[in-house]
Amino acid sequence: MEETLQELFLALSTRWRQKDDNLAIGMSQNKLLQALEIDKNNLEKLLQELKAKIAFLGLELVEYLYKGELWYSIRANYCCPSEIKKEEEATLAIIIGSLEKMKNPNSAEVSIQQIKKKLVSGKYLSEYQFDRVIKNLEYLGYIKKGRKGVSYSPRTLIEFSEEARKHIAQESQKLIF
Amino acid sequence: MKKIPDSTEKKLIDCIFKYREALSHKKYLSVPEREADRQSLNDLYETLSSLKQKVLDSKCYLQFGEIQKEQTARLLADETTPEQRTEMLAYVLRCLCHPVVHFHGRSSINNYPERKEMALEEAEPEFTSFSEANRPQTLCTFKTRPISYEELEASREKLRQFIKKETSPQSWSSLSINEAEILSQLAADGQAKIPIEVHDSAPSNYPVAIVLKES
Repeated sequence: MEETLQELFLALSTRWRQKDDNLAIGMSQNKLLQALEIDKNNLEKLLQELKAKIAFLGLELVEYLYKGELWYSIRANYCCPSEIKKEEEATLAIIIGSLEKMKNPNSAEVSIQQIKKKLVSGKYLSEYQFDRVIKNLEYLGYIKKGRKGVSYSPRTLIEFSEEARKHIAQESQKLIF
Repeated sequence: MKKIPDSTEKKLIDCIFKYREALSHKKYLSVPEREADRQSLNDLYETLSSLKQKVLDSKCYLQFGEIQKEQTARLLADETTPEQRTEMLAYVLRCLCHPVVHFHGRSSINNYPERKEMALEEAEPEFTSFSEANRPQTLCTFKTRPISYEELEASREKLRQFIKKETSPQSWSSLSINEAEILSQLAADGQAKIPIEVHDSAPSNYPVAIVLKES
């Protein structure tokens, strides 16, 4: 049992690139069921046990829907800096600010040109810096490119709660003009 | 038939729309202009008679408050450089982030899998729960052993020599998964060149290679 929990912890704290080049965070329910060769009830029991054990370490189990599948991941219970740099954080905040103004922010897309105009003509970033920042944010799974522009990738929705995104949107409107 | 608002209501509605529009377009309204509007709204208070007019009056004050907040923030932000504002925004985002937990890839090659065959009697109890009919004679399991720093460095050096000798990536298919992983790390650190095939029209005297370097 302990060994299964250890494996489950490792499985849920992985990240890997999918066929469409998007970064996957954690593991989908179907993959876990196949790998562990157990049914949904037993998986649920294992996840509950893991949840209780990692809570002491300040970690929490997150469930999210991605491409019609249920996924599990592990995140920190406390606020702390992530791996992105200052310029990437600011650009992500602007993207959050633009998306949160829309009707369905979780699925909406914002034009890259609109963000670029704001940041490059406002002399916040150079054009080269901006392109690199967007590439990095996409590579690290924070945003994904669509037909009309960029939208949230699951990582942003996991790492920033709805209230946090609303607050970031307000601050970005105040500070970047 | 649509009811035409009286002059008091019209003034109140005009005031609300003026400030709402200024706020949405981030238009600057000077202090004397705002003060004059506030003064006229104050004078209008004596003429308010219905509940609707009082609600509109409250909405006007709400818009005054919003624009005041916005313009104070702009005034404070005007004193800062774009770099400082970027830093401030990045700080807000950093303070609200609950990052996902993950392990970096480098640790994944610290153990080399080693195939080991063992007799059924030696196997751990959890492996022995086979039925009598399909019980195998031996069980295969993967055991891992730790790899030392010297061993890892030796593998890196061996790979550096290998890619110098075998310049065509087609001949690299003989590499194991772990060796390919180490090669990727060397390329990512800028320590190994990955040659690429270019178009036929490119000059043959100049080999093209990719070197990845983190800036």
